Amino acid sequence: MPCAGWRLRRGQKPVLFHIAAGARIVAGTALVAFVVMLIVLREKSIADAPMLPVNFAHMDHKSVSCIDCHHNFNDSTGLGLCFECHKTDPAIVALIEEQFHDLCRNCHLEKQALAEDGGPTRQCFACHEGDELP
Amino acid sequence: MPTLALICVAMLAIILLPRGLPAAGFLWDFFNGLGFCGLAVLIALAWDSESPARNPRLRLHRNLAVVSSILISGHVLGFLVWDPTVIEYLKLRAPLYMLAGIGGYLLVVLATVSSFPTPRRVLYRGFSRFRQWHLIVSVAAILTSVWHVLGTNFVINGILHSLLFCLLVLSVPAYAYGRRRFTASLTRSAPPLSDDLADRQGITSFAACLALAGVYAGAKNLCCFT
Ligand code: HEC
Ligand code: HEC
Ligand code: HEC
Ligand code: HEC
Repeated sequence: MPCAGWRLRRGQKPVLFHIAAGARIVAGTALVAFVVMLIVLREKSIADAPMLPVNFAHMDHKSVSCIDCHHNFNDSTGLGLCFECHKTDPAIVALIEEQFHDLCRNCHLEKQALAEDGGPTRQCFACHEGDELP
Repeated sequence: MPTLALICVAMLAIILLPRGLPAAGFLWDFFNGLGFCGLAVLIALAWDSESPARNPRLRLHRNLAVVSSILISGHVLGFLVWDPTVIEYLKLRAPLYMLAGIGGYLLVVLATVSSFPTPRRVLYRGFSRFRQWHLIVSVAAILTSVWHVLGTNFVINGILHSLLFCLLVLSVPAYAYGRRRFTASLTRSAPPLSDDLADRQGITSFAACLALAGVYAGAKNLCCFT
């Protein structure tokens, strides 16, 4: 945003000019520092975010092969539960939303496009209301 | 007004193209429709942009800006109230395209509020300063909105679809800018609008946009556009 008083007016003294230039440099540096701070805070808040509750039931997914979701059963990523890796491994924790949304919603979307029964595609509360089902 | 109608219809046609994604429930699509209408009004505003000395339709420009701000507020608040999990997208950790959406919303509100005389005089020193920043803020608002729409991947899907959308949304402002810059003014010759008429047109546009969002949601959900 433009700030009143930074511009050199006609007839202004050179001293004032230097002050005005200095003020601009300070303001510019402050802006850059603020943006860097935002970026750092963002990284940190992604890593620290508590997990949203997820309403997922294996009962609804009997038609899906285990491997389609439990990719670690047959690739070499290791053993364990999804979130033991995806919420703790710093290399992938920032991707959790994108990867899980793609996995869950893309399949539901494909089913819907074929006019078959599928799960929720958009409404957040349908997946995130968080009642624990088996 | 005819411009706004044309832009809205073109946008509706593009987002309802067969490549569009399946419906997601009436309310969900309605709130999205509000967002799209808000963007359509932004495009119409770009078309209508002209320096005020030459623009006899300035009051309409201002009214439409208010309409756009209200539509986008409806888009944001609607989702927040109806599906509170969306609050996650207001946090700093939200995906960048969501932050872009919030930024775009704030820019639209800023561009609107800062052009009323009192805030304008507080914020900007001199009218040419205001015009310069008004242009920058408006263009930034449109660009961040486009980022938001394409990034969410909720409605527009696929490269061709995205390109069509960009073509509509970016070519109109670019054309309007070129016209103003390099050729004679379009609106100078337009008949002036009385304040009354401008206000009535603003209200009509708002009602039409609400109806259009409803039609969009209804069409998507009832007629099984996939
Ligand atoms: C649609 C994706 C999907 C499919 C298909 C799937 N799972 Fe899962 N599974 C998950 C998710 C997600 C979790 C983590 C659930 C949670 O934390 O609530 C999980 C958790 C588990 C757990 C740990 C359960 C617990 O409560 O600790 C076991 C065991 C398991 N799955 C076995 C299987 C087997 C065996 C199959 C095939 C018959 C299968 N899963 C198919 C997604 C799937
Ligand atoms: C042993 C750790 C581990 C477990 C357990 C695990 N993952 Fe992963 N997952 C990974 C790693 C590491 C990657 C990144 C692999 C890559 O980029 O190729 C990944 C990638 C993914 C992706 C993105 C795949 C892609 O092609 O983009 C999805 C989706 C995913 N995991 C879902 C799950 C689900 C669902 C579960 C539980 C049912 C699960 N993961 C269990 C470690 C794990
Ligand atoms: C490969 C396909 C596929 C994947 C991947 C998948 N789902 Fe589903 N999901 C389905 C199908 C099919 C149904 C519909 C089952 C039915 O109604 O019989 C469904 C239904 C659901 C439902 C609604 C159940 C109900 O009560 O109507 C929820 C919630 C759900 N899925 C959550 C998830 C979550 C969370 C994930 C990701 C961890 C996921 N799904 C991944 C295919 C999938
Ligand atoms: C098909 C089911 C599904 C739908 C619909 C869905 N999500 Fe998710 N979402 C998941 C799963 C599964 C995860 C990964 C588990 C987790 O982190 O809670 C996830 C993760 C997230 C995360 C990251 C949480 C973290 O641990 O860092 C956010 C934020 C999020 N979702 C927001 C939303 C919002 C907002 C909506 C509505 C626009 C939404 N989700 C709709 C299934 C869904």
